[in-house]
Amino acid sequence: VTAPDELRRRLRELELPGEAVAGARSWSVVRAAFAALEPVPRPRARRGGR
Amino acid sequence: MGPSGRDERAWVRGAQAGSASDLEALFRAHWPRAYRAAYLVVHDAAAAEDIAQEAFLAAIRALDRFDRRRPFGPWLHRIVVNRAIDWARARTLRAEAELGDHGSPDREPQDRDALLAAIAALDPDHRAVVVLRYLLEYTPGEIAALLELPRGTVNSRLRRGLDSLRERL
Repeated sequence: VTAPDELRRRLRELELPGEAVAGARSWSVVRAAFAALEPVPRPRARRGGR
Repeated sequence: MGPSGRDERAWVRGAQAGSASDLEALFRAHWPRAYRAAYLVVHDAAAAEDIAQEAFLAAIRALDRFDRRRPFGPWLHRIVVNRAIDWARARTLRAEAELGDHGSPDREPQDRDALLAAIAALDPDHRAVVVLRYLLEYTPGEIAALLELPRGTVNSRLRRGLDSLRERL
């Protein structure tokens, strides 16, 4: 398992507790925080100015 | 595998413009590895969730200042791994103070897997470089930059980490 390629594969494939539920729960929190952000005004290109 | 650079830049641009669907694409692309990296350093599901979630919250707070020409992954992973190391070190200190042992998470039921148990037996600094190298696939030079360590220290932690895993597996 400590050959690098085998270690990479095992690390990617390990079943971790709570992984799917944690993702769903965290997306709800992140989405709510994003929705609460104040919109940031973007600078506008100047037209026909001096 | 991570998203293409072009997809990622488009998602960051969309999220900066207020698109929740682009933010969701960015989240879906990066959450699994962020959570996995955090878990493999802290070996605690609730802490890994908090750490990965906080990293994303930090990302959206800084979204308007984020330089789209730079990849999102390393920026996120730096936050995740540094917070995970801090958390794991603090747990070790708490355990030493309260229980008189080294705070090893070996007894957690999820560590029945031999590889998880072997990684848990490393100290947090060695876990972090193994995770950055073999899960997140950064080069030793990139790991040195992410963790602000000399490259020789990264190489030595990688070698000792792998030696320890080899002895235990």
